[in-house]
Amino acid sequence: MNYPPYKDIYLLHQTIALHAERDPDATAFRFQDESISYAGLYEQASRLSSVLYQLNIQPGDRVGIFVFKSLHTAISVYGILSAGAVYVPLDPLMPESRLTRIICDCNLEVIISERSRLPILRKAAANARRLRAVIGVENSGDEFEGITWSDVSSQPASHTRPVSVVEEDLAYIMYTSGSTGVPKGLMHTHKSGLSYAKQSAHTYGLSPSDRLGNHAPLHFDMSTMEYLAAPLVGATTIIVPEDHTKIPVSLAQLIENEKLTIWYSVPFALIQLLLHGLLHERNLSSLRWIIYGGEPFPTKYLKELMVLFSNARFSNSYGPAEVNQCTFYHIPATENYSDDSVPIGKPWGNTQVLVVDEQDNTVAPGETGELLVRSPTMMLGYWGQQEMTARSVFIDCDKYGVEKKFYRTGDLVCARPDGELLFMGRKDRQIKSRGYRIELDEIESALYRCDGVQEAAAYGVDGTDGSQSIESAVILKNGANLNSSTLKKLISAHLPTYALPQRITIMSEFPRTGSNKIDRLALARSIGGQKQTA
Amino acid sequence: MSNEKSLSMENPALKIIEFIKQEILDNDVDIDIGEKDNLLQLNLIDSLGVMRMVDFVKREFDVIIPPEDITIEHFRTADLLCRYVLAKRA
Repeated sequence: MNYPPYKDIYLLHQTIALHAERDPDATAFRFQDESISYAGLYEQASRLSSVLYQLNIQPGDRVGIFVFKSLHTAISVYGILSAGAVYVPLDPLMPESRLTRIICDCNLEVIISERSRLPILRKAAANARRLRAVIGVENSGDEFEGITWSDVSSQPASHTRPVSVVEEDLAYIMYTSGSTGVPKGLMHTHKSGLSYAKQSAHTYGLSPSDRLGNHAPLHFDMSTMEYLAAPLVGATTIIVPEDHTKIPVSLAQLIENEKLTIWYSVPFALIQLLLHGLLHERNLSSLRWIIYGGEPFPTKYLKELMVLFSNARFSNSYGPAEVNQCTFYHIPATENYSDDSVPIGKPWGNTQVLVVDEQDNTVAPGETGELLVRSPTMMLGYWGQQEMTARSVFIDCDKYGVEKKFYRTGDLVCARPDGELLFMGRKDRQIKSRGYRIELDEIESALYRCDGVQEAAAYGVDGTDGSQSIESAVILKNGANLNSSTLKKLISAHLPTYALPQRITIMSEFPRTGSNKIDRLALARSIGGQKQTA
Repeated sequence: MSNEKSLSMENPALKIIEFIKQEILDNDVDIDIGEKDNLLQLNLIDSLGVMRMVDFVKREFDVIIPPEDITIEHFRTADLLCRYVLAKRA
């Protein structure tokens, strides 16, 4: 596919300027019953960038976005980029201590927020004195200056101010929870963001007539599809309100009413839609792509969804937030699925992958190893963490001293004979128990095979003998008549004895991360290792 | 309708909030939840919490919520759910 209009674009915010000129009235973003056109978004972003200039925000400075989803989310992203600054999405529900830590970590002097967040902002400002202005709230004599959106709208829109930014400069910093509990900021550039947007637009054939549902919040990396790739092609993004993401019937209504053509989310959201969305009562034929990522999709639910959405194509997207996305697998409608998981596929354009062993030597085809990725979609590094950044890459140096930099994903993969990569679990999800090497994902898929199991999680628990034991937890479907001993009996048909969990706890819900992935660490902490009562 | 059930109809919105605090938020007594707070946006209840609310409403108020009524219009706030329950019992 050819993209002649985009060939001169090298900065992310140039995309909305392009469409403001080519198709000014086309809708860029929708939220509830409000819409903003590309021309409107360009105007508002320019006004916001004027306010940022007046606040003495320089190119490269970081500006936080601490709002619930709304049209202001999109205006904030593009206003900050237009000023040459770097946007930092912040979970609006994050606790004050984490907010304070991030404000100090990347030196946020200005945050775009809303009135409902004022109590927590005041607390954070008291602890992190550098915060000096908040856009989106009234000035109320706080520690920081307040600037309302109507103040922003009354600014002249100045499109001509020169900003010295090149594609290698930072565009956004996304904080993820680190394995040690300290949040780490992934630095992405205009180049890495645009490279992702271009590959994504190409892989899914995005066009101006597409209507994308934005399920992920801005602070979750999957949102870059809607916030960066959709504006590249001039498509419309429908921002899904937080409350719809919790109520499957309302979410299905929104998909139908807004005639979404592209859906992109974690499997959890799709499974909830399947189980509780009353999909049979809806006409969802507008959907042409259902793309999922973030974690493997239990195949039995995937199969049911593919029958229900027979008009749509399904695709598994894969890539750690550090590289945005790097592989894809378009799921053939005709494939005869076993319970093996769906491949993560092959690398998309302009991307090289290696599968290596513990010594960083390439493994033989079909053998399992860690996936390394080289692509312009890759982050610049972790903010303020040079050592961590250095550890996250593998430098392949040829005999002429030319270096190739790969990101170490920590994910284990193996190639099928046809070259499609299979995800084999996290490098750190593989545990050793009594000398045996055990994949926790294997235990989960065995539990999923049991009729009556809605969700399953397996995790390692440190034992007193230095070895790990495996435990698991399940959520049963309504009315399922199962207990832990019958479950154990059922999965023992698929697993070697040493891989059987010591305990299966039946729960009504799991702890989850902000992006709705099962929080297995929290599970292991809350119930793992406790004495069994029966 | 039994006497017991009608007694429990005193201030259903507060009972709903009490249930969220004690059962869904695991006895979080410090949290302040208003009748008109957006329970979903504030992540006080998630999709699984909604299912537990449905069970609770059946148990506590003798109202069965059919799947098609499990929508944001009825679950966004304690006040909206309370209105729904009262309308169903009227």
